Amino acid sequence: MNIVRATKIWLGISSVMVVLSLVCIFTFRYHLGIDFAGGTALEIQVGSPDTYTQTLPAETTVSEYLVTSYKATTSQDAVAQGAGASDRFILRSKAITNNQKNAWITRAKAVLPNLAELQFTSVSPTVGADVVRKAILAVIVAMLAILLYLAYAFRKVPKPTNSWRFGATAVAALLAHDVIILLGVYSLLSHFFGAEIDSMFITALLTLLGFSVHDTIVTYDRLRENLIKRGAVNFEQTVNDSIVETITRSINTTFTLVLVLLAMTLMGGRTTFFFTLSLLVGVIVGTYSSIFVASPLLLLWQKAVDRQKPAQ
Amino acid sequence: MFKKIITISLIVIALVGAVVVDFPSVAKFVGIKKEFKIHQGLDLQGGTQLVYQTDLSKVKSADQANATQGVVEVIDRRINALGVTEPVIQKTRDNSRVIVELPGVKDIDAAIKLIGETAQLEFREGIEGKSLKDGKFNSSNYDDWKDAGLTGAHFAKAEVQFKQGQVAVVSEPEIGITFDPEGRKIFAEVTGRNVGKPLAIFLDKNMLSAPTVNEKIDSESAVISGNFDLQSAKTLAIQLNAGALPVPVTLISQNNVGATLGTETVQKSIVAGVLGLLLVILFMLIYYRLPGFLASLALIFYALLSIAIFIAIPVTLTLPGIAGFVLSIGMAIDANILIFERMKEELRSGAPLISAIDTGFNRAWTSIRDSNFSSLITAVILYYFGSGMIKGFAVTLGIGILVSLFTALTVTHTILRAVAGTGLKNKLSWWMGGVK
Repeated sequence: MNIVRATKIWLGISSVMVVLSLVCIFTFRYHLGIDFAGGTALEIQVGSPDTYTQTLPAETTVSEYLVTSYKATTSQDAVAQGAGASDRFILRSKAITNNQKNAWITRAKAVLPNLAELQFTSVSPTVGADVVRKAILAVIVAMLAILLYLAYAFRKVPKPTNSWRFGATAVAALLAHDVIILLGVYSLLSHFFGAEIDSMFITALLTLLGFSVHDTIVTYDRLRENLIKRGAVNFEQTVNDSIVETITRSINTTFTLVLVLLAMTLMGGRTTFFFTLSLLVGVIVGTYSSIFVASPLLLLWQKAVDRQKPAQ
Repeated sequence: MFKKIITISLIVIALVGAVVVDFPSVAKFVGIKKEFKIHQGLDLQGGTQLVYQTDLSKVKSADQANATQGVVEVIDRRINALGVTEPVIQKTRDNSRVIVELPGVKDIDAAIKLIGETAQLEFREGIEGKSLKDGKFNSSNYDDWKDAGLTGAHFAKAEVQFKQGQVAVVSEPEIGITFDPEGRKIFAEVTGRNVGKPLAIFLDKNMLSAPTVNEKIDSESAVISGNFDLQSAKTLAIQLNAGALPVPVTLISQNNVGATLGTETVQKSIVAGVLGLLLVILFMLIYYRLPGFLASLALIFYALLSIAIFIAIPVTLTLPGIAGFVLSIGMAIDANILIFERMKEELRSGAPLISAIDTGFNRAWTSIRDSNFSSLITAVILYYFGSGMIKGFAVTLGIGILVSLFTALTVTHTILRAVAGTGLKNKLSWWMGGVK
């Protein structure tokens, strides 16, 4: 198997994916979660239809009634979404108070007698800015910490390469590839399925920063070992052999993660659906980049350095 | 040999301990009275989380920590009077927020009213020409009155009582207060200065009442009236006893989770977690055969031990926390995969089984260490920057990573060596699953 020879193809696929992702990111706007933008989310259960067929105004659907009565009580425009079960809805609007919510429930109960509140979240818009700031800070700090750690962990890597290149290519694959593609996929999920950028998404993103370098580390670890064994001759062959020797375990370690994430995505319920789905997308993209982006980048870098040397 | 005995005893003790802590029936059987229970977060057991922003604009930066800590203590006393079981009140590191968690509270409105009001009660004297006209009451505007130096801080006790000698069927509630010795002294001076004039009582700058002083009152008790209904009188009495908040607070975020939704979430997460575990075990059996089976035992041990640690610390388990734990199951097996692949390489190059096992473990260690450490870094960062729920995820993921290092390196290794010492060592194909 010669993976390195097709470097241009792998990096080509990645570039196309990254460009497409960037297009998506800037074309579709993300829905912001209420912990970022502020607002209210009220999850309710309306009960079975025969409890309200008599009381619900003619030619009005339940969700239409929910929205109009909500507006009448709280004077906020709301959006009603289905929430898993057929008798469950989530109403989203600008932030309302607990009192306003109670007033609306009392009013709506006249029409929907079995109406029950399942969850009420209300966040003032001032909170958002702080959360966004912290999220961006956390991503930057995580990147730097991983870069520093990798440079340290691979400090004994022999020539011709050096440990900073190991760290830099691993983090480059992470940032320029994994993060951007995940953001691109998530913009589609946000646009078409209502996924939101919220604390959970940022958590998934940060978790992936840690995960995605796992496979890169395994490959680089083997590369280090092979470089020590064989010396600096034929760097390209050594890189390729290291990838080939570790590709099975990279795929298998990812596969076990995919299994648990699939189980959680399909069975874990609505609250964590997009969280586990983005982790799922992220670990697959991350494994691709570990095998097909990080090491080829390292090799390209080495070639560029080699070309410069005779010129000096 | 000695080292081996220690390792095996350590594993056995951990396993027995984990089983006792995890299964209440086992704990009961061995005679442990203490009830071990997973501490569930609000999103799982149902309850309300309130987040307050503290207004520190008028507080010197050196005193901000104290002021916010004061807010926490006052809110704690107020909630205790409400009789909530296991409330959690904490401030954020930067003192800007106070987070109040109330499991199972039904009347959230009452709780919000009780917690969020500053409840600064002040006695104020009249100013002729502004609040007073010819010694008579003229204005209820806070700024038209001047500080009398007597506040709720001088009360020893406050309680709800009913207006004495009232003929009406529904008697009006009022607050009976008892001054501390200094409060009694100030009250005597203030009433002495203001005989024949009104003395105003303000709550958070709103006038409650302005009774006219008939004579100097040198008594440790007094009565505050102010058109209370029973509920608001009770609330105020609790607030006065708990003390005023040192700085004003604003409610910026609220989250109520109904108990039904919480229970559903727990059930779904358990199903997802068990399914994930089974899928991983199935894969390991098919692909890695005998070592895969042994690793699966280690994985189950890993799950039991992690849950026992969550109970023992205790870690408050939230929905993201469960997700972090299930995720860590998928990661915990990774170390085994790396080791087994390495082991197979050694076997292929003709190494004897035991030495292949040992080499597999030793050589795989650096990459296992480095990759887990990078995940630990992100767990720490998540814990540091994250809010409550996210912290829960970071904690279970972090604990999961540490425990998985222990089980993969110690437990799997020990079991593998033990099994390799039996007749199974000759069935090489059992050890070489997946080798082409």
